[in-house]
Amino acid sequence: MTATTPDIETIDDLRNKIIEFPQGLPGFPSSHAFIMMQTPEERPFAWMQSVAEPHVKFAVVEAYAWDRDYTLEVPDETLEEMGSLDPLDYAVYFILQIGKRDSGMTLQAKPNAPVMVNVRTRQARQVVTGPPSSTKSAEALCLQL
Amino acid sequence: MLVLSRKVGESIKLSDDIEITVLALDHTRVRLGIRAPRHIDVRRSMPEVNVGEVNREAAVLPDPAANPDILSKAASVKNKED
Repeated sequence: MTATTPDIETIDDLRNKIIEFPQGLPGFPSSHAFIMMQTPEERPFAWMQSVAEPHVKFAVVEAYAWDRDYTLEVPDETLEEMGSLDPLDYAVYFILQIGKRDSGMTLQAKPNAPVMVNVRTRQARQVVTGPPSSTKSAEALCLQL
Repeated sequence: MLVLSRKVGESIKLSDDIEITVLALDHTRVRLGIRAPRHIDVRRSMPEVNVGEVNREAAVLPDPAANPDILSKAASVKNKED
C-alpha cells in the first residue's frame, strides 16, 4: 500500500487515549501501552508516554502535518495484521528527537521509523521504511526553536 | 539454524540470487557485502536493533529543567511556517 492521506485530524481521535503496541516498542520491551497526551495548543505535536514506565516518553508529530509530501509504503500483510486495509483508519506519527543547538532547541524527526496507529482499534506498530520518500532534506525535518 | 564459518573474501549463497560475502573483520565487527534482487529488503532484516537505538536516543529522560511547553512552541512555529 502506498497511502497519502490529507487527514491530519486523526490525532483528535487519539488525544489522551491509550494505544497498544502488541509487539512492544523497539528498545522498550516492557512498554506496550502508551498514552497520547496533547493540549489543543500542541497540535500537531503530542507526547507519547509509556503507561508502565511513565519516565519513558517521546515527543511525536503527525507525519502529514510535519511533511505534507510524505508518503508511506507499508506491505498489505502489515495492514492486515493491524486490522484494516483502509489507509484512512491509520494515524501516522514521527518520533522526534529533542536536542539543543546554540541557545535553542531542535526537534529532529525520525522519518524512517514512523509509528502507525489503527485509530479504530488503537493498535499501534512502529514500522521500518526505506530511505525517506519525502522530497524534503534531512535539514528540513529539523525545527529550530 | 545453520552455523558455518567463512574466511574474509568467502561468501554464502542463499537460494540462487542472494550472496553474502565477508568483506572484513576486526575484533568485534564483521563487514558484509550483500548482493540480492531489488525486491529483497535487506534493511528490514534487523529493524529491532536499529529502531531500538533510535528510540532510546529519542526518549525524553526525566529532566526537571526540560521545557514543558516545547511542543506548543513547536506547534506555533510549525503552524506559522505552513
